[in-house]
Amino acid sequence: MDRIIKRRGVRVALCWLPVLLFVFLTPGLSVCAAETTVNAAEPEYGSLDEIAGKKIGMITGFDTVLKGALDHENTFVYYPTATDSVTALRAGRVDAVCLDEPVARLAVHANEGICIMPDTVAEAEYGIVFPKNSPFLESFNTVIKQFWEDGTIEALENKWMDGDEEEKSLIRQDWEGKNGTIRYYHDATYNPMCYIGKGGESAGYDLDLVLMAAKELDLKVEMSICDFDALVPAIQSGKADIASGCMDITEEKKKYVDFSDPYCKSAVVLLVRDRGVRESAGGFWEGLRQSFYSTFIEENRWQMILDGLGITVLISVLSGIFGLLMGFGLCMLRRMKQKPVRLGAAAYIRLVQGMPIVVFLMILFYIIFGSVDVSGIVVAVIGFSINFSAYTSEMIRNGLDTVEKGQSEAAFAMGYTRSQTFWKIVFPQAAMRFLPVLKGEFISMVKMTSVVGYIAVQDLTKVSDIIRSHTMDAFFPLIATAVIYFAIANLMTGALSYAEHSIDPKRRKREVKGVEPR
Amino acid sequence: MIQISHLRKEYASVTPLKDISAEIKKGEVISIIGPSGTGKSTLLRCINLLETPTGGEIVIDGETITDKKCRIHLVRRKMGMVFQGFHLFSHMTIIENIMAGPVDLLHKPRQEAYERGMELLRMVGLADKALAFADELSGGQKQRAAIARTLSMEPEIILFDEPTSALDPTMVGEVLAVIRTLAGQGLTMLIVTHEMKFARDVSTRIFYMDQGEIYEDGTPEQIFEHPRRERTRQFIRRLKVFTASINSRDFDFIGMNSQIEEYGRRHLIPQKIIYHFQEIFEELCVQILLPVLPEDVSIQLTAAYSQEESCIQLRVQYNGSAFDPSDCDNPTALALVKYASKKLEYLGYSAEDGMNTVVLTIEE
Repeated sequence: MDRIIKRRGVRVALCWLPVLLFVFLTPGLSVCAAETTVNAAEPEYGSLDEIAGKKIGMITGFDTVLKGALDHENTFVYYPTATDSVTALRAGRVDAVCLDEPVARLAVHANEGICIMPDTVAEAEYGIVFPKNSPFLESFNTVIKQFWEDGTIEALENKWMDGDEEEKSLIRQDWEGKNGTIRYYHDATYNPMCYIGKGGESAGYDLDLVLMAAKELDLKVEMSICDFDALVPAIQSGKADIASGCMDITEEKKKYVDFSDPYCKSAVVLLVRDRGVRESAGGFWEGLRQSFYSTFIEENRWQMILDGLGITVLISVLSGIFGLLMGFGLCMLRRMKQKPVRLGAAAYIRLVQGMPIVVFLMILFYIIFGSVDVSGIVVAVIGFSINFSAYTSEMIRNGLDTVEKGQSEAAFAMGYTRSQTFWKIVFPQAAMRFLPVLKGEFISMVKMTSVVGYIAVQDLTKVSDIIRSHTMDAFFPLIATAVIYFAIANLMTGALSYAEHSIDPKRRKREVKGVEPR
Repeated sequence: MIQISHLRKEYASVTPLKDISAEIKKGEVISIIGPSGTGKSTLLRCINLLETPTGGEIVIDGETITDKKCRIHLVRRKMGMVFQGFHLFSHMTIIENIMAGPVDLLHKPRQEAYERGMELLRMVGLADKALAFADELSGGQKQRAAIARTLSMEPEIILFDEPTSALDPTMVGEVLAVIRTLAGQGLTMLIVTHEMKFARDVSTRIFYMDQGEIYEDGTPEQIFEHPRRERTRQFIRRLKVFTASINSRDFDFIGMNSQIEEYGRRHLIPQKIIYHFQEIFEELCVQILLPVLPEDVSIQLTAAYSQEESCIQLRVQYNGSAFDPSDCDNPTALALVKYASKKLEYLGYSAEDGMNTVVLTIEE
């Protein structure tokens, strides 16, 4: 027995080995903003002509501008967040990254080895996004015009782009809101324009501006964080009344939504690698310590991570339970005698299995529940339950099919009714066979929940994105997130294995329950 | 106890039961024998409605089970079944298998079910396997456990569906011994089996089934000693029949030889008998008969092998004019034929169909 326990210990330890390797190897990649000797920047590519024909990374939305500015054919690579594109630049995957100037400046500050190319790509103007024919558009434009004239814009720029960290917090909503409430969706990965600041509070130039305008108009603002890519769909579907996130005013977007007059004039620039920077001082451990501090400790970010983790676990567990129940129901429908019912269930499974979960979630959130005020978490649970049910029903069905017909015939012959036979004889045997597969499917669903950021839910992955965009440290938060996912996936696997073992009759103690042996 | 009238079961392509009528009294032990594929198992499975009959009526203990309104699970509780494939519940230990029915269906206290279960296990000699799982037992042990499970429901009728067919020959005995002890305890038993000696010893009555009907129904003595009908006789004497015909001088000689070999292999006929058969075929048919027969040659061979007598009765019929092979002018071939056969007899020429008939007996 002792030996078994020991061996088990070894097995468990072996399981965690990859994590340790992971953790110790990665800081080698992670070069953090320790003290650096800064020379004058020596951009690898100094002008738009030099960059011709190279690979350029960006988040969506810059390609039209870039094509206008560059004479040559360039390859464009699209990244989900600005941070990711900067990471790619540093890792040498792309030769330049296209960003808005404020963001680029911050990235240069937080990461060594990159600088802004002297040539700018284009002037850019950011606008607040409104649905077509929004009643608010006119009034916001009036206020923005006034802000330009009375120096408010300039004050905002000073506050957010250069100012003291201490001052960077939003104005409080202390006005009455006589004219109602507007729902405001914003991106949160675009420091300093819109990001998560101290103590997990939303912050940034964009948000401050919207709040100040709302104050002028005496409107309350209800803020929600949303992926940049999903801002326009959120406006179109009516989930949001206004949205912003450093969004360039382009003719193309104007086809679908309206823009306010520009509230910020800036430039689109290219970030390139800086050849003038040498290896930083401080070394590996210092870098790791710094990263750990900025990812977890600073501004109590662990609190955000914990909340994100909670959301991930909540969505997974609820979807697991509902998905299993629905899957069981579906499986029963597929075993019915009536052909239309069977075909209906089969069609449902095909449909769900044939759709990427992200697309499915976005359809649910922005179209099906588009006009209903429902939390993204609820939609995520609905979406994942539906998705999970399609897979579990097939697994349960396969499990039931593997129980040979003789087992139920023997039960019938003894006088068991159909339902007694199913519950006492067939199902327990099927469960032993489908549980192991189900376990794997559940764990893969836990990991799949990392896409819920698309429907404005702040789960673990989204939180880590937000933190990365704030610290501009690309590697450490990613690795930390991976380790956390690994840990919860393992814990859940453990819990399910325990359940699986406890229903496996062969692992039970060999005794007859409720009986005095004689 | 069981009345079956005009029972019929048909599938899209076959009709395993054509028209079965029988009356089975309480305490009768009936063995159902017959060639494979003649509906024996189907009949048994119709009696507890594991197969739904296409027509006819079955009445058990005054209850018409073929009636749609019948609550069949209640009838099944007093009618156990032992399967060829055992079908012990694989997620339960042996004792749990045996306790399941009484606890779940008869609502007996677990303690009582356990004690009765252990008693039954002792009876079938498996008390020490109470906590084992089915896949830890040998085939014979599984079947004995399955019988104990059937008995735990205290049935009045037990249906045995080829209980020893899936077993190694070494394990058949232990299972038959258990069934033997049950016979004569007042249980009504229907046993589908291929164990003739067992059927004869243990039964009070035998159904010989052939081609979807009860072809002959009688006491063991009558069926085994004095079968009244032809197919019963053939089956009881275990005649294995081989027929072939030669209609051309250029027939496939090698093919014919291998057909004879295959026939021997299939029925486990001693190799020596088959050698003799092949020799007779070559010398008699090819060397002696073919040269003297007319152009439109026709030779019919019918061989019947009896396991009990370990010999083949070979009947050779051929056309042409009257011709006794003993009169042929090929003494070597004739000598070989005579050497290979125990007895050679020319039965003469029938003017009716224009055929000569020779009968030979081939022994080891």
